[in-house]
Amino acid sequence: MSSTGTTARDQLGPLLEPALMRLPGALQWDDADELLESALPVLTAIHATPSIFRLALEGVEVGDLPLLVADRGVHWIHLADDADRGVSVDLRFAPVGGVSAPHVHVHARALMLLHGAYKQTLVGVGGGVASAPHAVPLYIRHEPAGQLFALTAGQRHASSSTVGALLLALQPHTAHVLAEDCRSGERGKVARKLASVLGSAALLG
Amino acid sequence: MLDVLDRLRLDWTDLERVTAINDALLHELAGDKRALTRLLDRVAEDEQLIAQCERHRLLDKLVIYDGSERGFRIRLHLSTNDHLDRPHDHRFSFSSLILAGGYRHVRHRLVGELDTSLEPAAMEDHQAVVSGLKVEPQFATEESAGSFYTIHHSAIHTTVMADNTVSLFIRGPAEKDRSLILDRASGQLWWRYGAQQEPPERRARKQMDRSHFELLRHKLSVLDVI
Repeated sequence: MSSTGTTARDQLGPLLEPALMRLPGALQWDDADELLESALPVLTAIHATPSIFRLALEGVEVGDLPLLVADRGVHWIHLADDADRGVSVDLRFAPVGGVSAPHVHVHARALMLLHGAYKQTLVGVGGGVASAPHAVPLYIRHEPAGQLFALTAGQRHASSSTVGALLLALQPHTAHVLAEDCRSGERGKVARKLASVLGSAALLG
Repeated sequence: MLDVLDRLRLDWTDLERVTAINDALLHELAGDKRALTRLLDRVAEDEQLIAQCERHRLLDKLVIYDGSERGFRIRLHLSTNDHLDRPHDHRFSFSSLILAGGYRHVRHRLVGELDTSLEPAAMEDHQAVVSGLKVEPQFATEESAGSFYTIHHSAIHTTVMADNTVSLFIRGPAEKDRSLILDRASGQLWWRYGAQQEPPERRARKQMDRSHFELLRHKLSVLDVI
């Protein structure tokens, strides 16, 4: 809790509001093209607001913000829910590199890679002339910092990174990630790594 | 750099491996303006290369190195001022590095049964036929200068480009005799064939003349690509 008596989470809502106001209405989670079109100004506006990242860091440090640990050491930092707009704003933080086998997500996501880099492979049945009847690697991409993209729930993909990655995510406000609460003793360690990444990405202003 | 190209042989059956090779190769070539300029000079001097350069409604294609017998061909692509949403696949897998400009890039899932017996002679948009097919965008991203990716020939995607978008492009061998193009709104379909299978009048219409080639060479210089 800050010296003003409000939590980081309390303060994040008003700070995120100008960015979330850019949403055109209900997001089309089943159309990656429309989803990216709608999410792009929101992600860009959040990216350009250092006070959001300072508060996120403070929230992780003092325990005001939900911090979840998923597979392969991935941390999810839940910044805000906006039930009216149907959106959840989260940070996905992988402090070190790793390999993720092909998988699908239960929910669609629009993402901006804030820091780091990774290789992403979209896997599936191509659908064009002479498609294999089974899934193959369709699209191999090298994602640099700053990359914006959207995935629907059905899009199978794999990723690998040698340096780790910090992503800003918009997902349905009902979204759940398969993760458990971070142990309180681990928060300090995650906060230190996050501070280092946010600093080197010039996100703290 | 040209020595490297002359020795290069690519196997596209392993898309991961060929992607790693193409990533290094295209970045090195893009950073070597002298080599790119030399390759363009050679096109101007080589009747076989210039005969492969084509003008399309959405894109101009300059073939700057033909290593077809060793599994690859390198091109420079320049967007025209016409930008349409036309989901399509390719006859070959390829890698692309964006040098200037940018575009919305969408990977689609095809919904419906593709009937390859549909009007095989439809090769132009005005000959398009009703296919009953639809596409569902499953992945979308914003490509900009520096973006690099590889696409499998069977993937259906759309690139809606900004003016003056330039890409360095390396393609593999043809995996099939034709690929499809869809009008996204109507679902109408037509086909693209390789040069050997196109009627002479269509070939003649697509083929780039020297004056347009020189215009593009000047444009590439202005855009600081060469």
